[in-house]
Amino acid sequence: MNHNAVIETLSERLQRDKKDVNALLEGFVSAIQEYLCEMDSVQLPGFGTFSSRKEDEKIVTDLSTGKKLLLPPAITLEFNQSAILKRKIAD
Amino acid sequence: MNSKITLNQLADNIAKSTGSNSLTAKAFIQDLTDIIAEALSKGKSVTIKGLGTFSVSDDIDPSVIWHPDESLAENVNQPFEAFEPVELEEGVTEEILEGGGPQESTGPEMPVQDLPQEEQAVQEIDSETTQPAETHVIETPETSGNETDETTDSIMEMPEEVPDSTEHSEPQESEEQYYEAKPRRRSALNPWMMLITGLLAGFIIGYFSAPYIARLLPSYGSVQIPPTDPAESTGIYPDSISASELDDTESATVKSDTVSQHQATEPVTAPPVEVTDTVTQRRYLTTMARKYYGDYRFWVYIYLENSDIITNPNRIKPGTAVVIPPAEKYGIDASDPESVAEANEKIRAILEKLDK
Repeated sequence: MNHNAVIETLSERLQRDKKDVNALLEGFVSAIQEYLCEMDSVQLPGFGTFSSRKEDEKIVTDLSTGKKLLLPPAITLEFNQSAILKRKIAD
Repeated sequence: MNSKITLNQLADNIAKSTGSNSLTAKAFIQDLTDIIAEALSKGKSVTIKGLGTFSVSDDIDPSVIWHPDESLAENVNQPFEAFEPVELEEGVTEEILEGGGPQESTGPEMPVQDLPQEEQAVQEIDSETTQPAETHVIETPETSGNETDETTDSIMEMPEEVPDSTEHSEPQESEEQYYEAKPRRRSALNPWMMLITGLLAGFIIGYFSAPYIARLLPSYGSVQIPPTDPAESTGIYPDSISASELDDTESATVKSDTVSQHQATEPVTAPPVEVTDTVTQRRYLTTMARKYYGDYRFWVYIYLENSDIITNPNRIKPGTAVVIPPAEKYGIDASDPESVAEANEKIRAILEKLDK
C-alpha cells in the first residue's frame, strides 16, 4: 500500500477531498517529525509510540583489520507497537 | 524534551498547521492508524511519504517494523550531520579521549540541559583555566600580543598531541568523548603553565613575532578556535590594569570587573566598542556568561540580547556572533543571590515557552 493508496482510502472514509487529506497527512508527518526532533515521543492509542533515542559516540573496532573507528553520536528512531495492534496482526 | 505527546496534543498541532479543527485532525489520525493497522493485518506493508514504511516481520511472533523515511532520519539527526566517523590512530585509547567532564557527551547543541553537570565541570577547571590566564595578563603589559601567541600555540599543539599518546590499547566499546579538542586543551594545562612561563621569559620574541602571527591567524579558519576579536582583547585590557592592583582576587569578581571597567573607560577610548563573541561547538552561551559575568546562569541575558538572531538557545549554529550586553544593562551581579535568582526565573520562563 503506497502513499497514494493511503490517501485514497482515507478520503473515502472521511468523505473529504483528496487535497484536504493530503494536507492533513503532511501536517501529521511534519508534526511527528517536529516532536521526534525535540526528542519527544508520540503516542497514538491503538497503534503505537514513535520515539527517538540518542546514541552517544562510541569506538568500534573492525575485527578483520584491527582498525578503530570513532563513530559520531546519532539519534535513532523507534516505533513500539501497542498491544492492540499486535493482536490485530496476530489474528 | 523527553515528554510524551498524546493524541490530543498531536491533533491540536495538526489542526493549527493545517487550519482545520482538532476534532477533524483527531478523526483523521484515528482513521489513518486504522487503515495502516488493517493493511498490516492483511500482511501488506504501508508506505507514507516523509514518515517511512510499516511492515510486518515474518517471525513466529509477528511484530510491526517501522523503517523511518530517509528524510525524517536526516532531519532528526541534523545536530550531528557535521560529524563523520573518524579513524583512530594506533594506540589512541578511550582514556586518552576521555579526560574531560561529562558535559560533552550530550553534544554541543544542548547547553541548557547540561547546566548542572556543566557547572560542576566548569568549577573544577575554573581554578586551572582562569588562574593562569589572570597571572599571565597581570605580568605582561603587551596583552594583545600574547593573546595571539596563546591562540596560535594552541593551534600548533593540537595536531601534535593526538599521536603522542601512550602505547596500550584495548578493543573496548564504551561511551567516548567525540570532541577531543576540548579535553586535549584541558589536560594540557600543566604544559600550558610552563609554556606561559616560557613566554614571559621570552617576552621579546613574542613581542616581535606578534604582528607576524596576527597576519597568519585568519588562515587557520578551519580549526575551531574561538576567534579573539578586537573587542574582546580591549575588554581584557583594562582588566590587566585593575587586576595588577587587585592581585589575587577571586576570578569571578575580576571577570565582572572586566565589563564594567571596560564600560567606564569607554568615553576616554573614543569609539564605543560592542563586546561580541562567537558561538562554536564547544563555546556556548553559558561559557560566555561565565567568562563575562562570572556565573553561567546569566547566559539568559546574552540570549535575550540576541533574541533576534537566536530562537532556540539549545540550537545555535556554530559561528553565530552574539553581542554580550554590559552587565549593568540587566543588573547582572554574580555575587548577588537575588540577581542569580532572577536569571533562574528567566531561564525557567524561556524553557517553558520552548516546551510549548
